[in-house]
Amino acid sequence: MKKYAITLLNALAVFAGLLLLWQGLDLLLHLPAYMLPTPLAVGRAVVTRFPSLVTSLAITSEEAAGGLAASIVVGLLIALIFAQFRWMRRMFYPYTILLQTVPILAVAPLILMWVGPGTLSVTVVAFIICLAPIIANATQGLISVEPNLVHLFLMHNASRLQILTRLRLPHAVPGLFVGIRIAAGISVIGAITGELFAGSSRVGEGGLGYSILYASAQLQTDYLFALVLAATVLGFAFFFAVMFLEWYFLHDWHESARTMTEE
Amino acid sequence: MLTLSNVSKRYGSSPPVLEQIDLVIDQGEFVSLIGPSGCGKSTLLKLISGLTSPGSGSILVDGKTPVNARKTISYIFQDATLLPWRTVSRNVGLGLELEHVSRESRKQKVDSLIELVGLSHVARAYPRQLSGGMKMRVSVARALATAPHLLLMDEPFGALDEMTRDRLNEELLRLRAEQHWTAVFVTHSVAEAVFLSTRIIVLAPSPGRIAEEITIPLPFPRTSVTRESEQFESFVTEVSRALRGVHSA
Repeated sequence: MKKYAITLLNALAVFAGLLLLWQGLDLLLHLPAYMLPTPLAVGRAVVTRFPSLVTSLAITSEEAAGGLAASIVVGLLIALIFAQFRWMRRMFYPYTILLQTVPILAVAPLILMWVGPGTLSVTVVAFIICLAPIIANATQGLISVEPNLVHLFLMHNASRLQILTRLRLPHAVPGLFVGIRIAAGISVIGAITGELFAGSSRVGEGGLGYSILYASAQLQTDYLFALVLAATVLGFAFFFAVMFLEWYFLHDWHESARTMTEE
Repeated sequence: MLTLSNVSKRYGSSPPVLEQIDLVIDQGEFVSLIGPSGCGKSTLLKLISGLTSPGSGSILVDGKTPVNARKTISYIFQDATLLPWRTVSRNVGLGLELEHVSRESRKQKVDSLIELVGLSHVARAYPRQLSGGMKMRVSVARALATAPHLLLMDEPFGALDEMTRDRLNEELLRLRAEQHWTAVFVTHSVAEAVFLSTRIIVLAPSPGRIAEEITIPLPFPRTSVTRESEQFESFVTEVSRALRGVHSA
């Protein structure tokens, strides 16, 4: 954990250095505030508009988390079906790759049309973008069990259910977490993309994506920067939350989680 | 205890892996299968365990088909095949758990077996914390936990260094003296086969068939002293010669 703190300090130092550089650049070039606000101006925007910033952040994180959670549940169910029935896997697995290659920007307006404007359709967009990595990684984990382990279970007359719950599922957990880690990052992107189309039920109030559109239309560039910052922070928060869960569940036995503590 | 009559096996349309194997193993025997690679030693174990079925011929374990006899058979694989997410005790208890043995009697059996293989101090450790030899001990304890009549072992100590392997061989014989199971043991090592076995079956390749049977009447208990005896040496020589014959054929 100490190494962890040092890594974090290093990253923060780089961040502070970049801020200084940025502020210095402004002193040199004197760009108008709507082109490039100074870090101080952005900081001011964060402070003065903190309540609406937090509201946007809350809306977006709810949508992203909802989409992510739904994708974990549905993705794992689909992976379980794929793992149990080879013919299902043969027939439908290729379509999960399609799910990954579909441009979400093009699909988002469609979903909005079908589901209707509001947070639900944004959640659906996040859900769709998260689904593919969950299905792919969970399926891989469920089916890549060493044959001799299956033989071992068979020698004890294990049922199909026992092989699933005591062998395949625990074996798939590390892979599932790889999928969740990828999905957590893109869930925020999915939610913001959805919001760019979904609009808001009230003027000037909505998720980060909506507020970004609004702020840019109003040339409130300092607030726009504040929103982008918030989106980044949200992505980070999701990523670290998943990292923590992964460490919590796997550090006893799995190498990937162990290196986090012992590196 | 175990009867194979006229057993043949081929995979698909390729030439047979095993042809016309006739073999009777009595209660309490320790039989090693030895032979060059491709002679079907491992396939023979898979057949006895019912993990694959023979193309023709019949196999009876305690008068039952292999699949029906599974409750009394344990299989020890080449690698330890431990579940990395389970502690040593929970790995040892796996078979009992799958066979729905109650928690209390499971704990009792698991504890005594872990003690028997000398792993009490790491009972709560995870496999990744163990050495290769310790992992194999866990695997042996897990196999014995279900009180098998027949123990099938597929080169269980092949990946270990010689010192560890010798020690585990001695421990295996000590366990056998206490528990009286019958063993079929696949190995590449002549010395290991001679040390452990009451009888050695030398298999010839393509197609796999029984070339020679050598009885090893060395007295039990066998210890490290046994390995230094002249008798032991002469059996090693005899088996090696039989193996050479099979190779050059």
